[in-house]
Amino acid sequence: MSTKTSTRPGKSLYFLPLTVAVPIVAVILLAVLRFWPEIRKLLSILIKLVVKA
Amino acid sequence: MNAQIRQRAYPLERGIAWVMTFLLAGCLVITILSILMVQILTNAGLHLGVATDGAVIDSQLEHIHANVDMLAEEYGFSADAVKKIINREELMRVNREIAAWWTHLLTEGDTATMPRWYSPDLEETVASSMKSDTPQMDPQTIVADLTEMVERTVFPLRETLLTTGMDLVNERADVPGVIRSLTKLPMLGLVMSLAAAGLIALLMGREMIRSLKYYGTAAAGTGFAVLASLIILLCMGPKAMVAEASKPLAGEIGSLLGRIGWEAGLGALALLVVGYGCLILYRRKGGKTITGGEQAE
Repeated sequence: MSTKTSTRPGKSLYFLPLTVAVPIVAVILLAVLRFWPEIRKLLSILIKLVVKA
Repeated sequence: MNAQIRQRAYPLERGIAWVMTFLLAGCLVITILSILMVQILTNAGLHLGVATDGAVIDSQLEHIHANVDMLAEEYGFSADAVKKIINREELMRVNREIAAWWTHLLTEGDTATMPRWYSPDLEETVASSMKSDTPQMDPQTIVADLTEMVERTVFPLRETLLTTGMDLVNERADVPGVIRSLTKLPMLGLVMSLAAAGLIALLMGREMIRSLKYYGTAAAGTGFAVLASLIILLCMGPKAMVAEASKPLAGEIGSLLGRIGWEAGLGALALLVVGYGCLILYRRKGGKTITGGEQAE
């Protein structure tokens, strides 16, 4: 009796890009959430400095 | 089955391939970011497009006309006559001139004085439309106020601060040379990406088709990351932040971010298409059906 085995990759293959995207997005989110008040303050000072009163 | 056996037999090879995949994704992110940076710094067409954007002109016109009404009430001249002079076409012309000056400042370090707005008919129009029942103001003072208001609306940044800053930069560095070097960054990112992709292909040896899994993961992963970053940037509300300081500037920043956002979004979509194309191809071609006889070998 002959048996057939497929080595074709499963559909879970399509979730692999998330292994790359999730760490990148997590780093960006963490940086934004952690430093958001400082970033906002710095940006508003910079904007006030260059914008005409 | 051969592929499965091979995969189990070379965990180090697979580990290195995954490291190279993350490296490839990093290089792709650098490439996209540098393309956007080069666009902002050197693309004169982008700045001209922002300056002559219909929404930007409309917002400037609305702001100017509201200020003309206010000044007309204070100084007693006819607002309608002045509004006819400061019209859409005139604003387009001023915006075009200032965009050209701004691009030269950014790319060449050219610190020439910003072009001034001048209308030969304005003084005469103001003088002839002054109402007799209001205290008479010098038309030249009114024209100076109107001119400053128009220039401030079209270019709300302190130009002296920018030109002085650029003078200091010019003393220390060759600005056009630095800009020329920066324009090579996307190419460098692309070369690094190709090098990482080549290394993955080398690691896969004769089973090159397996490289598609890593290429697809890196490309689609970068696409997802860029799209998510754009959403995060949108949630931060940069336009509202600038609007607190200057509404006309917020309009210009909104237009610039919109154009850059579209480019980044399209780039991310292209990466997703290429990435998932690679993964689909790998799923179709990468596996094979083996009969019992072959398994026994």
